[in-house]
Amino acid sequence: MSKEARDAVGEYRYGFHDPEVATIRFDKGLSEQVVRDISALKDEPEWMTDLRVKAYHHFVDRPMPDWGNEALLNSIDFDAVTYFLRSSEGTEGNWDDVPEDIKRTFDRLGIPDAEQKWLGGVTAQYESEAVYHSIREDLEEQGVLFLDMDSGLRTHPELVKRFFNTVVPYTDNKFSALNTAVWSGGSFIYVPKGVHVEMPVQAYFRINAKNMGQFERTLIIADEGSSIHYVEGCTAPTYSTDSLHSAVVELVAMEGAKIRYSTIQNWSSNVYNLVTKRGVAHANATVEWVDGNIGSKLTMKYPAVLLKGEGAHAEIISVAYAGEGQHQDAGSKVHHLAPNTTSNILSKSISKNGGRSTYRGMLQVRPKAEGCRSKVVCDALMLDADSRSDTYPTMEVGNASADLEHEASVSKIAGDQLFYLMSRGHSEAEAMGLIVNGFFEPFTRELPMEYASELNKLLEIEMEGAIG
Amino acid sequence: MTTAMEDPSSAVHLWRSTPWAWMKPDDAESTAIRMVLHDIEGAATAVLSEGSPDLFPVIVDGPETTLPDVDDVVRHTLANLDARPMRLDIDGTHEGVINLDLRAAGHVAVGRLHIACKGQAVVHLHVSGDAGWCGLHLTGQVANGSMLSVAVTDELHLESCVVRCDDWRVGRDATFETGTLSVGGFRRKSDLRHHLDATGGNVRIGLGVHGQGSRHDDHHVEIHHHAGHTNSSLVANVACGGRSRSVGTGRLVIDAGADGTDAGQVFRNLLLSQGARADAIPELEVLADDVSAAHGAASASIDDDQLHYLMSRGLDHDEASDMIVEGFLADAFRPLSAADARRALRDRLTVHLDCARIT
Repeated sequence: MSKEARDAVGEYRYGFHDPEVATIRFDKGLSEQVVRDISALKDEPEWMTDLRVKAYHHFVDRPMPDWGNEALLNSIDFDAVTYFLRSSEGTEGNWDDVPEDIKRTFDRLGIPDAEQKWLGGVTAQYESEAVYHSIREDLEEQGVLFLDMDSGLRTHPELVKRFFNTVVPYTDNKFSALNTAVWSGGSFIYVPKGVHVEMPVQAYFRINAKNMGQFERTLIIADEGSSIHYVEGCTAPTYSTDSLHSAVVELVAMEGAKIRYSTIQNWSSNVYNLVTKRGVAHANATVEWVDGNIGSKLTMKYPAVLLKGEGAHAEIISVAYAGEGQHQDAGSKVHHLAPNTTSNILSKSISKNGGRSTYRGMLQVRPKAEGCRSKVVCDALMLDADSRSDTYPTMEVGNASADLEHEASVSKIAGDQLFYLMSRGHSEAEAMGLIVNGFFEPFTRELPMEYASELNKLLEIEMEGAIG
Repeated sequence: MTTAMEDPSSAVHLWRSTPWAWMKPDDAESTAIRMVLHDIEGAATAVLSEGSPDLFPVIVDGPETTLPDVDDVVRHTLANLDARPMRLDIDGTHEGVINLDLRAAGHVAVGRLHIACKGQAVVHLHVSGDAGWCGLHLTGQVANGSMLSVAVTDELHLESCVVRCDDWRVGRDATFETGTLSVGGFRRKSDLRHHLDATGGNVRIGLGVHGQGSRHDDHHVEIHHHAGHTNSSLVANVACGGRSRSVGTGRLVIDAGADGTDAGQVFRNLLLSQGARADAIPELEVLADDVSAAHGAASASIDDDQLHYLMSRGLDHDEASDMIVEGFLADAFRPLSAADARRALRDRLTVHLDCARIT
């Protein structure tokens, strides 16, 4: 690793933790009463309380998935998790009003700085709820709503009720049921017809307390002909005990709208990251997932797009880095439900030091979806003999006019590439770092510049010790 | 004989698209599939005889697993139904094709065949008959330095329900290649497993599937690279017409330490009608780093340019389509190096498509 990268980032630079700040902290464990208490604390409408309770019972009744990394999944102790922790009295619109300890955390993460330079709005969530939120005035004047999810429900209950739980119903899977039961925080965005949000808006999620569960819920609605780019980042301290992150993200792109959702997941290696992300694209709309998974102990995340209207398009670019003790079980799902819909999926993964990366994908063309086209490419690099790479793609084609391609490959870094770079003066480690950065380049070029350079630094750190 | 097993859940990957409940035989008494060896020269080097059940080590995870430990419902069921396994021993280099006719008749027909090859041979297994339910278990051992090509042409009656499972083991510097033409049976499930046990082993698999009417054809192909410097390739070409459905799943496993492995799988689906459906699930599990492993899958309808080319030379639309389908399915067998095996498959494919055109 270069000295610059070390100076800039350090060993999992986000592994620090601050003293726990809690104005309200629930006892560990989950029950119907906990679910009702969360709802009561937020003074939610009755329909939301009822939905939470139904979801809770579904979560209890639904068995753990019998696929994926069952050993790790079954080791989750749901009774050891804190399901709600409020660390601040409210959501502030000014960093100076955020409690000092929490502000210091986000300063170290560089969020206020980034906001000034290149973001259209920021939500910063600490434990269960947002502690800071702001949006540029010009966007507000155009009618763009960018709120934390709790405020969204409070101020726009009808809009939330219309879309909440429609893209990812609580019955979808065990963890979407858990999220629906205990959700707290997340983002609510509505972009009015024809409005283009030029600068990205960002949400940053931070877990600070031990054994914490973070269950944010995000709902983004882009009305006809509008567009938005949403960026999320996440970190947590490194503890010896595990934390649970189980989010649900629902995107709705109306006719002709475009939503891009970029994620750099960099949880510490004690976090279970079990997330359901899904978007609906109506006619001629586009949903894009740009998804980077660097951290966590176990990630199970398969961003999905339902191409519901004619001419809709899905684009999914994902990278995964699985280091020691990590299992990145990621992938993508695209369902072509309407005619002339198109999709592109590109997945890249690296396994190192005994890490395991898994691509799990679904590409489905329904019988009425005439003239669909899709291309899926999965590339995996194995950096040592202790690691593992799996690919489990599924193609279900129910319409003869579909034109689909899938290709995947697993290999190590080519000796001639290393030789080429080393013959030009790079050390073996530097050469390998350059090749890895190049391998991920189709992903990083889709990120805002600041994220791309941060990702490259992170990868450089992770690559340390890859040689010899 | 072993005790009955519980039906596997349809959540189990192997049975997700074709539940065992659709496939299992009823309680009727079973009849052995009649196996007749003919058209061979130098019969002394190829002998069909009654074998012992011990010849069927039903390997699930490794060479040591024996029959009572089998946790696979198909192998278990076939072992319970048939007490008369057959074996074909091949010694030395055998010129020409060893033709073996497998005729399935009766309500429930079952056959188990073990092929042991020490040398070089091409075997053509032609499966036919009108059994209501047909179960076939093929196992084999290709000894060190040997080469075995097996062409399986499955032309069972279109109302038959067919279950087939294979377990092949390939030794050091040995080559096993197999082509299957799957055109028979109303409903079919195949679970074909191949194990490369030692360095220098090669496996080449070609699969041609033609779906007509409401035929359901589910092929699961596993290739396990247990040793380094082994090679495998799988090409599966599926043409689906009518309201037929095809499912192709491939599982390519490269064990830790199997460095120098080169493995590839390709699944191609050609959809010939609006009601047809084809699913492809090519899976890779790679635990070694110095390997080259790849898979690909594609699905499309007949290319208009190809149709136009043929029609501009005087063929009508149906003739042109048929020619493209025939070429597409025959292409699945191109990786097989044994010309005799390719010819056997191609000949039966031509006969099948001619019959399909007439009916």
